[in-house]
Amino acid sequence: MAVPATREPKRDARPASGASTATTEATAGSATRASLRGLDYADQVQLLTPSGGAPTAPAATAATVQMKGEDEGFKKVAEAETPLSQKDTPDSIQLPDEVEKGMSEAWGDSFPNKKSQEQGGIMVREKDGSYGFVRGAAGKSGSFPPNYGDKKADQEVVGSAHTHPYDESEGGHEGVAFSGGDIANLVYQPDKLKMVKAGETEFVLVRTAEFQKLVDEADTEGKKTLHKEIKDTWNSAFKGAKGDFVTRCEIAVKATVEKYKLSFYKGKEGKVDRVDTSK
Amino acid sequence: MAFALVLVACCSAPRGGGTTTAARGDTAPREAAVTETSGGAEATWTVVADEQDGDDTVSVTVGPDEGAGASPPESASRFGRGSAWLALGRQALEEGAVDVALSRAQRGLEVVGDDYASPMVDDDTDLKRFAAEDRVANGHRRDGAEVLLRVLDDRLALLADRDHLRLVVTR
Repeated sequence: MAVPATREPKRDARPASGASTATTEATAGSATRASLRGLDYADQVQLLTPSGGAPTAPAATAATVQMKGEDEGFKKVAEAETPLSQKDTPDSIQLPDEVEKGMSEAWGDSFPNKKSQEQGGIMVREKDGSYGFVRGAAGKSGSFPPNYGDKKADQEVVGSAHTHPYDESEGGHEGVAFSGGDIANLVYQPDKLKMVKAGETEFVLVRTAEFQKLVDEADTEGKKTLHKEIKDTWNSAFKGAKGDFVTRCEIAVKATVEKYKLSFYKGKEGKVDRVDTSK
Repeated sequence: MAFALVLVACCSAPRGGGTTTAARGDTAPREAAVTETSGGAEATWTVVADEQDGDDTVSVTVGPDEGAGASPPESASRFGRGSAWLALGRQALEEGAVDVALSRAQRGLEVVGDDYASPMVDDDTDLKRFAAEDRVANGHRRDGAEVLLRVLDDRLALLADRDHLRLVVTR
């Protein structure tokens, strides 16, 4: 029996014509993908760091909201010129209200037609020291492309945030923490901190000096190896853990964070406390 | 599971200089796909992947998306084969053959492998895959199959985005 063409899987069906360059085709909703396409890892990182020159400034339709980083814990991480050593990372972080508000809205948009779809955005620091949250385009059921390309030339990326929705067919879990991929991608991504919202529960990862040293000492192949090792560490810990899905996920995060000396936080309503990952 | 594969890659030399054909598989190759090349500005290669399971067969043709190179990347064949298994899996699920759908989803994930996403994208599909396995283990086999096929779909989309691939036709 031949499978009829009507069942062909849906893919992005953008026409092959209308060639455009990586720096000019960015549009709202596909800015990151468009601006990074065709670049190798090093070039992607270069594009996204403040010293990498003016990045693409797409005509973002996503709302940019202003916020003040009044919390000392948040400011300590966001305004550090280099990552803090693990022991110096704050005991707690109060995320700015607008991040909390933006991510609450993102969570509300994470179940279109009762199916999971990740949402999120980036936190940026403005030239005047204030902070902004820029909502990105929707991701897929199990992935989110942070919209780093929406960063303007005079902004600095502080971090990214995305949701972890699980619809009924997936078990309806809430409180699912970082995946191995979320953690491993800090090898390449510019985030000083990364947030996941999974229902009421919120998680934050903070990049540390110890982790950054591992990244800085790795060459191109070394970074690929480090990326893979972090994912493998998470996967092994998850498979070896006991308990329900959410519990095993958190155990895997703790094991990975402990090994790579990151700082891990958990909380709700924008207030997260550092988790002792040694236990 | 009976499994037959014919993969034919026809690609232009830079700017339409000719074609090369490669075939591999564990059965005799079928007739090679016809590939037109031109001297235009766009890449014009195609990769054709056929996958068969039992009486079900899917043929997928992959072409270049915007920004693609003049010849197909290695991942084009994985994308084509994975897309074929996705179509076969969905077919089985529609027909209520849940175990077959699960098997086909797993096969597709094996074919696509671990190298499919840009590290700039937060890829949580491992988590979703574990969630699908939990659903199966807890007796919700149809949910598990549906989620596993969604994982395969997500990974194919990430691969297509990263390597500038698109489906030309599935039949």
